[in-house]
Amino acid sequence: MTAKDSYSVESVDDAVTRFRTYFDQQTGEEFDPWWYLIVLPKVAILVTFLMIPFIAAIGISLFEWSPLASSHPFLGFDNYVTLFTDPIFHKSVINTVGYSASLLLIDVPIALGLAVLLDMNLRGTKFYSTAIFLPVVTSWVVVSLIWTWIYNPDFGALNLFLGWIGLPTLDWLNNSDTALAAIIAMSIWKHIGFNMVIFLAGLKGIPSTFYEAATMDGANRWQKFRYITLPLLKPTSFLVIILTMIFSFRFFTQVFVMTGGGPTHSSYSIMFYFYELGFSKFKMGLASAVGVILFIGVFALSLLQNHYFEDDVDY
Amino acid sequence: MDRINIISRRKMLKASGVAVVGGLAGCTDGDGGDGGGGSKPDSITFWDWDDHYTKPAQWFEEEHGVAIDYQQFPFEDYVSKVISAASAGDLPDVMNSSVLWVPRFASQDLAVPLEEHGFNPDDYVQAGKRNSSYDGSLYAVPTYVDCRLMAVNDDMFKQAGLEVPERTYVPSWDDFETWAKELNKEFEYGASIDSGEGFDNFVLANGGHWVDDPLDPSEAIINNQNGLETAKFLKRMRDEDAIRMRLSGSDQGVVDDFRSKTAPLAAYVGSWDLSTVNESIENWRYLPMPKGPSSDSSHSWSAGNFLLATKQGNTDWALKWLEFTQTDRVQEFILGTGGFPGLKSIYDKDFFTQFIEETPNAKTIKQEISNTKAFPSHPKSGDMYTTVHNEIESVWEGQDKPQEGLDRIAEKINGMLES
Repeated sequence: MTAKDSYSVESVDDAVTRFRTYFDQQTGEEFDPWWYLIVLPKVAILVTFLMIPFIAAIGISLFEWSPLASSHPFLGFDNYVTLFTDPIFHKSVINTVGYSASLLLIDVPIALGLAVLLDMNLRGTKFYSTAIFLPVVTSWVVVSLIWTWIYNPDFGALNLFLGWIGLPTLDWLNNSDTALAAIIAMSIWKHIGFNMVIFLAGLKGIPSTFYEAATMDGANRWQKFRYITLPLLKPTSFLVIILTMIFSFRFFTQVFVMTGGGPTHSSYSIMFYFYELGFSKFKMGLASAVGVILFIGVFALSLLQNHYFEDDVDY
Repeated sequence: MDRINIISRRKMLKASGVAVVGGLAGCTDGDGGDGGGGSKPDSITFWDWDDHYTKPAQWFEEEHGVAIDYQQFPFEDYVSKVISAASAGDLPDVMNSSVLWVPRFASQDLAVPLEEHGFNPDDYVQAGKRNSSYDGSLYAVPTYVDCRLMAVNDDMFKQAGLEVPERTYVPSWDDFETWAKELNKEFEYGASIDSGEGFDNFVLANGGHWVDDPLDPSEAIINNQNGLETAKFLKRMRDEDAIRMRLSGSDQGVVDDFRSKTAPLAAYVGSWDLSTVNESIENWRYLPMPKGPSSDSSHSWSAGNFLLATKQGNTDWALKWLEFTQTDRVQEFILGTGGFPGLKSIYDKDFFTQFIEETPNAKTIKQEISNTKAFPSHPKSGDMYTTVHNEIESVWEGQDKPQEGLDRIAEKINGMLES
């Protein structure tokens, strides 16, 4: 067969036939090209608005790129070196890791606890589950604005309450010691319902026979939770932790609305720094480098978690 | 099923390719600027972050038969909006510009140089002329200029047993400290200071600046004796709880503290806040920024509204709109919004003299407009603004000693000047 022949219609059709045969063997179903046409729009959108910009961002991160500049000099890895020696970037990473750790260590356990309580079907379960989930479906911008007012040092509800019970009042968002903590507290309040719902679904999926057997063996509530609930919730926990971690690394809206990253960069996040570099300072190359570093970090953490959570629990 | 099976991969790829090309064919250029103009358009587009020119826009349409498509965008997003539009060749015909952006837009060849179209820089007050120019050429029309001042609540001053100073009295730092501490005994806060521009204006009033020569900056001087003295003074005042320092990112600012009577003394309050404060406080006055020990007079930043014609728009009609904003009718109207005229000739007009007589606070503005200092005429003056105001907060928060913080700011400004 010549090179010309390899591009002939017959060759292409042969290839398609071979693919169909392979497909049928792998899936046990007859190959149907219409399925590909159905997903084609989604794939096209994914490629156009996700994959191509992502690959382009990796490329742009190697250049000095300003929107109206007449030239975009190639810098190699200089943008990455600049970031790794930038104290503001260090601060944003530390803040983001702190935010993520806080959500993982506070949000996830509390969400699990709430899910366990709601799974007991006590009185008022529907009301409480709605009330806890309601912040999840409220816009981040709206919630951030409301909490900005709650944290207002002069007129806010929080300081009003603290003053009423005799505790010291603080300028929550205007103080570098408390700004990030205030944002974290608000974020946990807003996000906890999301994790709770996932845990609740996971709990509903644990067969009651395990608990019955444990009861017959004399296990107390804590032992059931420790030896049955937690292990069998492993896939759900993995999902919650992955989602919480990915969500936490994207933390931006609260910073933008409530503090603007200040004071003294104390509430800067990686995404906020990315936004500032790209859309305030128009240093697209540096901003793209931030995006690439963020992607690598989150991807590496996801792989790590997948490695440690990959084993299923069987009883 | 047979019909479906005859769809080969090649045919699917062809169909997809046709769909993509068809979709892209729908993406045609919208209305772009013609970059020159000649025929009379139905409308020209004017971007702003406020709506001060709504009435003048209506007058222009009545007089010339060309509508002004007046569009407003939030100030915080304005520059990114402009840069994005410029990249796409989609700038409006005319746009308002902050003082910090004129050099940037001029250096990026977005603005039409005005002198070659008959605009004379010497027609404008010094503050307006300096801030509208870049590299010695006029690029924007200063429709109004402003300055920064202190605001004093007369009633609260009297309540604290203090004598209310004359409107044109230039206080010293000692005066300021005494007032702040006395007022602090009586009220929740004695004085509210903006951590960024408030600091800037105290530095200017102490004879300092960010750079050596605002018109041709070559070196940062923010960390010299004038700047250091100022930083130490304000840091001490803050540590002694004599002032409330409003840091960046606060949902409320110094003007809010003044209007809500949380603080009877506020710095800075813009000359453009005149009508806003009048709505909340009946008896109040502007005072010049306190002069520091290293200065004989008060100074503050000058800024304002700078209209420029973009190179991507209809230049002829954009320039006609710029000329129209210089007319007595529009200038008189703008006076009411709190801005002072950019044109020298307006200061001799009867309506201006009458405005000064009828508006006591305008006397202070008129005095201080002539004492203003220009922002650096450099494409990165916006970045300098952000750097100074973000970095100085580490001094207020006690994370850096004043000299260290100022040295770091100077280093960053020098880096911008060299790039």
